[in-house]
Amino acid sequence: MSTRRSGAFVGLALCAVTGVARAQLAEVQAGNAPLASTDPEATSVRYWERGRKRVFVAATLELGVPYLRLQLATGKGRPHYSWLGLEGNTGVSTGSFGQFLGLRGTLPWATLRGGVRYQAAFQRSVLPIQESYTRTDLDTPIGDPWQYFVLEGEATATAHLPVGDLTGVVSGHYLTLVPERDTYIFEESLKVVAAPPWLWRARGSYSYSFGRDNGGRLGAAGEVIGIPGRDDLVVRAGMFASVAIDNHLEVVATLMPVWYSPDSLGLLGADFGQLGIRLRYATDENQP
Amino acid sequence: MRPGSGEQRASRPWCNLPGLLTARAQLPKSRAARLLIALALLLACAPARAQEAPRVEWKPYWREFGWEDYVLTSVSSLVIVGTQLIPEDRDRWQPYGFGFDEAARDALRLESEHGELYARDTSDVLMMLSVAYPFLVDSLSVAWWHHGNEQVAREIGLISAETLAVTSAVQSIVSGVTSRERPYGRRCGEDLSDETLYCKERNRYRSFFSGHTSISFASAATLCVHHQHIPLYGGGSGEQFACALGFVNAAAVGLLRVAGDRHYLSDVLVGAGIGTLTGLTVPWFLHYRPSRSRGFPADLSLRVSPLPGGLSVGGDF
Repeated sequence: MSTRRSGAFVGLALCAVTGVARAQLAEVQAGNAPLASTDPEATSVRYWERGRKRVFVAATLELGVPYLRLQLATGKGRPHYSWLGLEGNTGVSTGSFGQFLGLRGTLPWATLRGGVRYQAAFQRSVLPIQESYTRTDLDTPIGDPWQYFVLEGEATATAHLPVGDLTGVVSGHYLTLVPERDTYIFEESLKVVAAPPWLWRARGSYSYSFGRDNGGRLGAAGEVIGIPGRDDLVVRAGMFASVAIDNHLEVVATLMPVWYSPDSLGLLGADFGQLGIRLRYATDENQP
Repeated sequence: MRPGSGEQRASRPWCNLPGLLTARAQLPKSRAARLLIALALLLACAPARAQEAPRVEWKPYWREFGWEDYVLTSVSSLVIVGTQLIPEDRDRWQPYGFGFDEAARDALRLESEHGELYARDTSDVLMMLSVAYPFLVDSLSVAWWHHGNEQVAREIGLISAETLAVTSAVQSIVSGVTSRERPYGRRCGEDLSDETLYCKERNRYRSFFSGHTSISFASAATLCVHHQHIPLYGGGSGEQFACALGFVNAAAVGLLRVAGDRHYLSDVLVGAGIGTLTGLTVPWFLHYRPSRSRGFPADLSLRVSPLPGGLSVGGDF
């Protein structure tokens, strides 16, 4: 490439950079685009990280289409960031009601939790044993609505990479007090037809932060759920996104359709678990 | 500085493109050099274009969401709950459908259980997206998070909720009173077991008109009204694209309800009409309708300027 031509390209590139920078500045001057905040307290995604260590009660409310989840936690540390204590979750969806009570320890890069969950269906019953299930099988009750308990433990680890975060989750689930022997059950939390008592799950995800104060997050996730009693697996993969609107409010969305399953449950078998908002509070906050 | 004003042109004389075009003698003769200069000018003048983009703001002459709207939304929500108590009457709507309903059912319905299931699920997901979009994307993510305008975010969210509540209330009353059986109902006891939840539920007799369709169309129409008045995506074709996409999504929901054997075509068409009507009228009539009592400028001006080969008509209002 000749010197003259390369000089022209450099000039053009400089013009482009200048133009884009000026365009952004003009948008900010016109009040149409936000500047990244310089106030560290206003950095919503790091708000909980900056909290004081203390004894606290914290709450998380998730409201979406169509579900409601409330988590109450009490412990010591920085709520919603790094703490040790008790945790209780209540969840209601169109299909069932669930209540979890357990212990949780959270660090910036890892979480351990374990406890017991009670789950009760509104209409669905246990399922007769068969090779494969359709939605019609699930929606044709053969008895009273089911209820059962699950003992579960979960470990999460996160690696903060230069570009994005890498997260891995493994969990084990032991279904107990299932109403009838020699039956299967649709496990509402993992959304699979389970052969009690055991289930396990391994999930990996990568997320990238962007936008104002890095409050936007977009990622891809994949998970495998093992059903030892049926000697089979369910595989899901998809996308998730979230936006931290302010210190307390977050928009969340997850869609992980099924890629492999012995059953044909349509989207009931997908993890369409989140499409809504998440509100987080704690006692004795810096900016309640 | 007013967008496009003489003050702005004075501060960026190089952005006066018509002026530059007439000063041809000053430009270099080389075509490449001219192209380079033209591209550079285009990029360097981007600020001027960006600055001319309209602001995301709630105009003082639009009515804010007030106590009357809270009452309307609450009453509508109570109506939705209350109408669930209307008992079904299996004989109220006979026969099943209009003439074209049967033809449309035969043409659009997916015969396989698998296909029907996916049509139904997809319509559920698309409807959920259309409900969630004005709240999660336009209100919270775009208006509040991106533009940092909490007031616009609040108004968009509340007005959308009001419109959807009114639409759902109308749909609940009509579907409860008319008690039309859904198309799959005639298959209960035949290829569908009478014991399935679909056959046992009261919802089986709430076919007219389609709630999914009316909600999706109402959401799309409300989205259009918001984007017509507030330049959430910069005021350009993005606003029109969002509006069009909302209606494409709503139309897909309607077609999938027929394909999934949940509704007749007449349910969907009436749902689309009523949803569009409420989606356009509720936000406009209650909120965006300009009012002089709230400071809408009463003075109008009209300018007629001669142009080579014609006239230019413009005005301020």
